Amino acid sequence: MTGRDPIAPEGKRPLLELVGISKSFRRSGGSIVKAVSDVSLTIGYGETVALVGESGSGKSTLGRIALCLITPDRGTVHLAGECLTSLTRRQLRVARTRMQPIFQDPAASFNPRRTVAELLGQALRRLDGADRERQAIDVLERVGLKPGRAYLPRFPHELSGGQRQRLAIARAIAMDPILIIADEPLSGADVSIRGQILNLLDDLQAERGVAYLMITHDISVARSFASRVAVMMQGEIVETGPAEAVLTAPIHPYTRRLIAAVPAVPSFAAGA
Amino acid sequence: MEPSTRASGPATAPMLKAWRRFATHRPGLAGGAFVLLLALAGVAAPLLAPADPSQIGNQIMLPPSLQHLMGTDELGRDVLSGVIYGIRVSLTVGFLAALAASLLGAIIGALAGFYGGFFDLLVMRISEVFQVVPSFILAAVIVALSGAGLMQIVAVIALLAWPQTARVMRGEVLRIKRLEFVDAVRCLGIGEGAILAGEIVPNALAPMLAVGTLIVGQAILLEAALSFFGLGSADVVSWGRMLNSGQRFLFNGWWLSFFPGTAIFLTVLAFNLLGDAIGAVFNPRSAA
Amino acid sequence: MSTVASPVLSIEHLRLSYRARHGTVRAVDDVSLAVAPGEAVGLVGESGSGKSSLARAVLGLLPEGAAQIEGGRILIDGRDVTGAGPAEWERLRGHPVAIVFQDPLSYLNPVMRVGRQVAESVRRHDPRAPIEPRIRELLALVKLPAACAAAYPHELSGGMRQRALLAVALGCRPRLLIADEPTTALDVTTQAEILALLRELRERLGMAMLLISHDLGVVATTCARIYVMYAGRTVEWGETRDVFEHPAHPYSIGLLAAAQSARNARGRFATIDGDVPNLTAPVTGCPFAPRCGLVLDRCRAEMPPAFNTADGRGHCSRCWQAQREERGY
Repeated sequence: MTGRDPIAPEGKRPLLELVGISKSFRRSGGSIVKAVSDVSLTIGYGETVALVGESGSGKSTLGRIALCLITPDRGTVHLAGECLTSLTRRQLRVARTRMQPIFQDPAASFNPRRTVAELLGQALRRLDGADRERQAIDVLERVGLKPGRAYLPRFPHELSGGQRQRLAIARAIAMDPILIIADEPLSGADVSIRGQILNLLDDLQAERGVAYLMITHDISVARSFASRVAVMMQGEIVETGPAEAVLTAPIHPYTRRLIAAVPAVPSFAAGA
Repeated sequence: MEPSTRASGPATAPMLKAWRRFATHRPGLAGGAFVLLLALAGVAAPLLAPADPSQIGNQIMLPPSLQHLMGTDELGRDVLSGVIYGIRVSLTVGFLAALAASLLGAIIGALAGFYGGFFDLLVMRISEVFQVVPSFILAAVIVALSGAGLMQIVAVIALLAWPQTARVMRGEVLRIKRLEFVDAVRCLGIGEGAILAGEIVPNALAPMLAVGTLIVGQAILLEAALSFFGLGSADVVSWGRMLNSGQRFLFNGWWLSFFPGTAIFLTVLAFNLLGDAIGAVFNPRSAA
Repeated sequence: MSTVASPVLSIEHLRLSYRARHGTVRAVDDVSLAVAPGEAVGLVGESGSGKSSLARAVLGLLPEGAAQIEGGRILIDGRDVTGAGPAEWERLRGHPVAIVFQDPLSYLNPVMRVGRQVAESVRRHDPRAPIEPRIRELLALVKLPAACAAAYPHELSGGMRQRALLAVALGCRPRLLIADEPTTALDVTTQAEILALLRELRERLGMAMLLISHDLGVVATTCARIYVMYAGRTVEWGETRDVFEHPAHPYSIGLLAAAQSARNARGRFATIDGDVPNLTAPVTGCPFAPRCGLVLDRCRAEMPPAFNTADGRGHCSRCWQAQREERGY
């Protein structure tokens, strides 16, 4: 299927609905660049959707609009049936917590002056004192940072890149979200460790039923991690459909060019 | 997985690392040490000064000697005591003015940088006016009109200096508000005001410290200049006032101008070196 | 398929360390590699592998004072340049060895037009060459429109900037081009173009290339031979096809599996447990031992030497298990 995708994916209730989103920015020279042009996208409960594109495709902007960090010029954002773009600021503050981000740069994702305990404390402020600490340790160990207690007094810059990314995931799930929007979550991680992050995300989805919108330029990851994919080019969605199908046998010429450009890693017979 | 230390070495709070870096900057250390000694001397003035600085005597116009290390003035007052007690005025005015300017500038700059829009434009234009107007003339006019108490002088200096701190704070806020952790905290449902106060401003304080330190030096100079022209507070011992009385005796009483003048010079220099070092330590371009 | 002719670059048992605030970092430990004239060799590794330090060491681009070559030799065209001083490095850079980096914006002068930077490079090697035709020739070689000569680097797109950097590098007629992550910052379609360009340049100019990358796909499609690095050591090397089809070292096996970015039969993604190594801590034995699924006691005690694998053809692995296999246990 090419073009828009306003209809809910089969078999799942719509969780996130982006309807008719458009956004333009004025560049410093005065010219206007259309980052997103009339895009519609739906994600079902517990689903994993990949948003694939190159730089300038508008995928990051769309992600930020979905997180209500940028107000679209036109269009609406709905989460679990509630229209977020029409809420007041105060109402939005409450409603948005069910949707959490994981950003690309683990280094810039944390206030450098706060300890891990404080950072998670911000996400767990609905709990008090002892409960908060217990939950923080719990969530740290859930993402593989063990022993959780040892991490609490540390600062983010003391952790390695992989650990920081896990911390970002920990903060996201501490809010107990129904949707996590991840913008290039694997860019900072080494190849041999990416699998750890992906497996962790898989496990969390199996446990908690959280849905993912993964924004990435990595086609191989999109193909194997997501169940559905939307391909963006210059602000528009040019093709959507089941990840495996679209990224193996694409229809749209841009998607075809994209797939063809990825250098293949030869596979081997794992005999050793 | 144990918390690894490979990222940046042993566990240290950002402040501790900053202190270590500061400690390698020798001119800054020297400046800081001088300021510290000066402050201690000012506090201990009654113990340190050999005499009451306003005590008139009949040993007038004595050059520096063992009894009067810096000599006496035309009324017999001990210059050394004057210099020591003068520390209090200079440092008090300096710190208070810098503090006031920093607070005022921080608030204005943070709001301008964070919310932008018309308020930001207004703030920028007003601060430009203050930068263009010759500060001493303005200070002199205001003091002449409103009277010459210490607090008036502090207020005038703060009024003239807030644009400097406001610009620095605004620049930092503009830089930091774009960082991803601000968005991440926004998504946690924390309000804009709490974000500005809790996340952005604390990370913007470091360069403010550098600018604030430089403003102390400026304030001391300005106060001395006002006093030198007779616009200072008449009932306190101040280096500027000593220069004011000393200018008449430039040729036959060089010590009356030399010592207070040197005190001003060294103090302002020390604050500038200190401010430079603090600025270098927190320079975002060096690895955090 | 190693060297009948003398290699254009030969690194022998090189050891390199940095002095950092919290200890000495052993960036490169006993690395040997060779690039024959006209050959494309890949250097693959992740963070902490030492591949970038190695690349910079070849041209004396390591930060002075902090970095020390502690042992081994670097030979460029048969000449030992290990102890070279700054003046000699100056002469070597550009010809016979040139280097391009990941971020062209940092390595092109932002206030100088592209054409002039290319001209500078040409003049370094051949002060009397006719400049204009040579600039045109180089820009055409990297498939940049001639108008780009008048542009500043920030006016060009990412791909064009990388081409401009290549043109500057080629100005000195290098016999070896070291490319350190040349396409990492580029879109995948632009990357494909640059890789194709590199292939074409090599064929036309008979230029050798040492391509450094963490992207196995890039290396697989571009290089004839590859070296795999881990924690400052080369752990496996050989012809690309051999290494990819019959990887012998457990790290290579894990890395190749992970690079597929695919789920295995149980729906899991392949990964190597643990984290990248901490280079400040002294290591006895094989640095991969803590993460290795096939680890033996011997691995923790002694760093294995290079063993030939069953493939032959110069396919070697530094693993005690490889020795086992060869003996047919």
